[in-house]
Amino acid sequence: MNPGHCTRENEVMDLLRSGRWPAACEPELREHVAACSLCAQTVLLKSSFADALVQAKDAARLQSPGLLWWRAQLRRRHAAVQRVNRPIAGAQRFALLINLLAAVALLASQWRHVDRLTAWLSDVAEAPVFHPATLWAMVSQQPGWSLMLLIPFAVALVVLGGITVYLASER
Amino acid sequence: MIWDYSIARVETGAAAQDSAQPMDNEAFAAFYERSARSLWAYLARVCGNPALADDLMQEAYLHFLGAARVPDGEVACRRYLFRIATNLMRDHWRRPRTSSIDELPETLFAVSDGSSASDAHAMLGPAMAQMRPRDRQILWLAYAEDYSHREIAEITGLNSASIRLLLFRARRKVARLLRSAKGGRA
Repeated sequence: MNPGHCTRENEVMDLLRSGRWPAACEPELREHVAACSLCAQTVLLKSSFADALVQAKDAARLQSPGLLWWRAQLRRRHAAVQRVNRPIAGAQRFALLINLLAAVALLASQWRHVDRLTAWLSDVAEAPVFHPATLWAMVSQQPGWSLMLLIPFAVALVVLGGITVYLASER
Repeated sequence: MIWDYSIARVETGAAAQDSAQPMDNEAFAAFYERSARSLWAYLARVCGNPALADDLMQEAYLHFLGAARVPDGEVACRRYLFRIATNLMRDHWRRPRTSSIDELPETLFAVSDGSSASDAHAMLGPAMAQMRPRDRQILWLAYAEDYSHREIAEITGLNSASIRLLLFRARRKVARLLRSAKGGRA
């Protein structure tokens, strides 16, 4: 006989599962359980766990299945969007890399003209048309100009602000 | 419009590839009604924490609904759900704040659902709290859920021969604890 197993254990277990233990059980089997430590152990464990199961089921706090189902659909959809977006994000990364490489190549090829470029930029910056004082004098002499400058500036500010807010909310 | 169409294609394409039969809302609601209490009992008893059991149960159902392949039949679905819950418990215990499932203090798992109706129940709580989490899982699956060794092996990811040995040791230990608790009360 296997020391960790009794041949009548399954019989006892079946009676316990069907709720026929001990009332609807043969007296002979009851005597066996009283004498067999393994079957007595099975009875003790099965009855304890069955009681605990009933009480734990009563204490269960269930959610709405509809809400769970809806959340699962959202999660599924989100995963699908990510799957669709994956190649697009890859293409964007590739394009960015190509652009960066092109910029680096351009800079490297034009490096010897940097001195001329900086000199040209400083000339442009010193030109009178970019000085605020010159601009203000021009505007103040002709009253119509102030509105012509103010309105496009305000419109550009509103448009750029809107774009910034939109991009920030998208992120 | 085009975007929605693409997403729908990805969803149905994935489903067709894995020959999944996604559960509709009504079928899921019925399955949930039949399985949720047992699953909660398993999680609450093994974790010893009803709030954690709530979270893990919700996550288990979300994983179940999001799975690309769900087994056919109620029994297989139920077993699959228990397997997901078991893996979630294991993941929870393995998170950085606790280095290992077996290194956790047993007091963390003391059952605290506030019920103390029967003697057996009142004794089982402290006895289970002294068991290792894996032993609690195996004992619960075997004696509360009536799963066979093969099914427990499938749910826990252990092999069937190990389950036999682990269950033998665990039941001997918990029976000793229950008897000593009974002796202490008498």
